[in-house]
Parts: sequence; C-alpha cells; structure tokens
Amino acid sequence: MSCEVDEIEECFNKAIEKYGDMVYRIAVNQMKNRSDADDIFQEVFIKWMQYREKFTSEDHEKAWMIRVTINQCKNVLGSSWNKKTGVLDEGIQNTLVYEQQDIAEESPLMEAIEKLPKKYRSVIHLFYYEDLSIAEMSQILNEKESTIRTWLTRARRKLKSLLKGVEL
Amino acid sequence: MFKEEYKKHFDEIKPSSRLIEQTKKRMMEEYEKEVSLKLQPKEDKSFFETEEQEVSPENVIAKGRIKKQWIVLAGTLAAGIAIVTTGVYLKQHLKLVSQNTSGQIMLCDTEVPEEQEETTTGTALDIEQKSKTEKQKTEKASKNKIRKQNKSELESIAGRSRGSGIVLDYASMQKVIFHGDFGIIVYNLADRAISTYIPQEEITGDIKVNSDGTKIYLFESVNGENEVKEYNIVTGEMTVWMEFIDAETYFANVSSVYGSGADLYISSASTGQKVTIGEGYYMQLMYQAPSLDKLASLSVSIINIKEKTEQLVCVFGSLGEQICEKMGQPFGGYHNEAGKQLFEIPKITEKPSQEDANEENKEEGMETQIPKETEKPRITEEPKETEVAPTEAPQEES
Repeated sequence: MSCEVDEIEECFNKAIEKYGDMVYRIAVNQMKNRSDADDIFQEVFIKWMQYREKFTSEDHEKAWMIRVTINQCKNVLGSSWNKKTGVLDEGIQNTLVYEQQDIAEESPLMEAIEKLPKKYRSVIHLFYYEDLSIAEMSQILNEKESTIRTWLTRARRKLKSLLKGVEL
Repeated sequence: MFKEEYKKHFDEIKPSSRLIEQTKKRMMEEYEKEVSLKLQPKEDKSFFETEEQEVSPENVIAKGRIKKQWIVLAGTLAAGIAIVTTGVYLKQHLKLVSQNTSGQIMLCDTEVPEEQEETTTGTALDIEQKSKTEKQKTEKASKNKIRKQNKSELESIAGRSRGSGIVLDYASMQKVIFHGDFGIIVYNLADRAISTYIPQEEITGDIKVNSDGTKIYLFESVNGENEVKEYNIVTGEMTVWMEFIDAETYFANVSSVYGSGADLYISSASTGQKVTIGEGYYMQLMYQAPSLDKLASLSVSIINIKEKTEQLVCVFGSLGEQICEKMGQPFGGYHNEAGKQLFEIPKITEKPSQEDANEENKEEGMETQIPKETEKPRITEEPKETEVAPTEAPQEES
C-alpha cells in the first residue's frame, strides 16, 4: 500500500511539474488575480486526479488540462458569488498582505491584456504563449476555426489600439 | 516584440511552492477517499442500520455520500409526485379540451362537476358501485359535451366567453365572429387569420350575425328612421335597408317613369325617379347634387311598399360617375340617398370609356352593379365577382 502511495505521489508530482505552470498561467490570464488562480489550480488538479486514467495520449492530456482550466475559470467568473462580490476598497486592500503582487501593477502590457474580454485573453495566451495553432485552439475551445481567427484578429486590433506603437 | 514581452511576463508567473504543496496534499486526500470507497465491501450494511462499525474518516465520508444520494433520490421522487398530483388536479378541474389537429382550444370550463361535490357515505361495495356509475356518467357527459359543442357552438361558447369587453357574435368550426371597442373581427380558424375587419367607426348600433355566419347586420337609427346595414362576408357586399313611414311622403318630389334609359337619369338627376318593377315594388333612383357637406351621389334602391322597407342596393356605379362627369361635378365615395357617406372613398383604378358606359347602360337598363371597391380597404377575403342586383325587369304599366 505504502509503495502504491509513493507511486501515486510521484505521479502527482510529475503532473504538477509538467502542467502546473501552464495551468497556473492560464488561470492568472483568465482570472486576472493570483488568489483566484490558486483556487483554479487546485480544482483543476483534483479533477485531473479523478480523470487521470482516461487519457489516451500526452496531447490529449494537455488539451484536456487547458480546456478544464478555462472552463473552471468560466464557472468561477460566471458564478453568482463572483457576480455579487465587488472589489475591496483600496484602504482595505492595503491592509491585506499578499505573497505576490498583482500582475496588473507590473506592466502596461498586462493592463492592456486585462482590458480584453476573457475569450480574447484566452486566444492571445494560447497563441502567443502556448504556441498553439488555430486548429488546435479550435479543438480545445470547442469553437470553429473561423471563430478563433476572428477572436484573434479582434484581440490584436484591440491590443494595438491600447498599446500604441507595439507591433503584434 | 509583443510575443517576447508577453512570454517574458508570463515566465515569471509560477505557482508558489505553498500552493503546490497544498494541492498535492488535497490530491492525496482525494485519492485516499477514492481508495477507501473502492475498498469498502459491497455487503456493507446501509448507514441506517445501527450496528457498530469502525469509526474512521473514510467511513464517515462514505456515509455522507450515500446519505446525499438518498436525499437527492427522495427529493426527486417527492417533486415527481407533486407534479403528477398537480397535473391530475388541474386536469380534473379545468378540463381543457383541445383539438390536436388544429390546435384550437374549444372550451375552457372552470365549473366543478356537481357529482364531485356530493359526499359519499356507505359501505365499501356502495362506494365501488357509486364510483363506477360516476365514471360512466362522466364519460357520457364528456361525449355529449363534445357533440353539443359541434352542434350549437354559439350558445355553448358564448355562454362561456371570458373575454372582457369582447362579445362573441358567432362561432363555428370554421370561423369566429366577435366585436369590441376595436370593431368587428371575423377570424378564420382554419387559416388562423383575420378574414374580415369592420372598424369601430362603422358601428353605431347593435350588431347581429345570421345563423350561418355569412352576414353581419349593423343596426342604426338615422334621423328617426331605422337603418340596417347588411354586410355579406362571403361576397363582400354591403346592402343598406331602411324603413319608411308611408309611400306618399316617401316618394314626394320623385317623378315616376316607365322604362329605362341613361338620359332619363341625367334629366332627373337632382330629384329622383321611381320605376315600377312589380306589384308593390319600386326601383328608386336618387341623385344628390354636391353641397357643402355632401358629395355628389347616385343611389339605386328597391322599395317594398307593403313592408315599407327600402333596400339600398347600389350607391354610385359607373353610371353615377358618368353623370358626375357630364355635370362637371366631383365624383367619389359611396353614399346613401341622404348623402351620408357609407364607407371610405375608394380609389377608382379604371374609368370605363364613354362607349362602354353607353353600351352598358343600354344593355343593363335598370340593373345596377354593386361596385367592387365598396369593402376593399377592410376585407382580406378575396372579393367575388360583383353580383347584379336582384331586380326584376320593369313592367310597363298600361
């Protein structure tokens, strides 16, 4: 039993090592803050654990990870809790100690990214960071290729207007 | 440039070690739960039983899960039963009889059957017998009801009309005629469309519909005389019936002529003509010269001396137009002989040529055509060919 547990632990470690960064980055990209991204990260790996034996290939596993992460973000963003909660006042925010600073403060690029709708954010991230093709994105996001292309074009156009002088 | 910056930025974003540790811990917990569930023997007694079991966190979680499943199942069952009972209750009390083929609701009866109000007392056998007879009764009643609806639609449906401000004048399997503040509507059930609409402005008195739903009668009192407009739904023709007191006053200032001819009408245009068309029947022609509040009009009507009624069969035809043209007067509109405009002024698309008109006059003589345009603005049904007014050939008095 203990041997089996060790094996499982190792398996989990490998998965987190392999997909952890990717999942976390997508979650940050979608949720715009790290605290929510933390929750998404945990939820996605719990789901992965329950589903782990059903993957047919690595590509399948990776695509599943991306899709589940984005869907999980959608669920959280669309939940009534999220809709009813507002942003804390600055004074209260300053009293809270975060382990890491929020990303919006770090660069104007991220500020511009944050202004995009979440579907545009996801295609930008998958295209520029994960280097996925439009066909792959269409499969993962379960949308038509033409739709993905449109989203990408519109996202670029919007970013161009927000980041004047930056070439996309 | 953008890509590099983007990548550079996101390269720095990584899950914290604490988060990774927490996630691993949670994953292990979940895994343990999973394993414990798998290892749990199938012959395990249900959580309802009070036998002593090992109190371990796995057992507690498993119990919780089973409990949840039971609660969900019980809830679903309860909801299902509630829906079914509500449905049965509504079916019994509302009795919506609908026809699937046409989709039209025939009857909405909200009355509770009298049989249900009676309280049943007695032995079990009595109760059984009563219930059987009640069933038979209700079956028969429902059959009879449907048959009755088909036979006397007007009586049964009009009594149950729940529309406020709307009066049902006629109903059959083909059409429904009703009126309200908006006017009269003839609704074709087969086409599911309004086939005829008479605006409110035309209705000043009572409304009646004949038994077969082909004619609408609009009752009105004009200057002390009773007037009835008879609208034929099928042909789209309007005939006006008027009552008069006595023939002498009625035909005063009206010249009696025998025979027919266009010139006669022209010469006597501003007064009127009376042509005998049978015993006690006269054809009357009246031309009303235009005045400040009246348009020029030519009317043709049949007078029944015995019944003292006038049937206005035509107001302005091609003949009237011709007269107006000759007299240099403006032509338009449909009026009764008192100069009252019956309906809106129709657009006359084709003017008959002089020759045609003359020929027509010669051929037709006293017969006049009811103009097609009469109901044009309001009737959606295709108007039939205009019918020739039912006049008899003039008899020459010796």
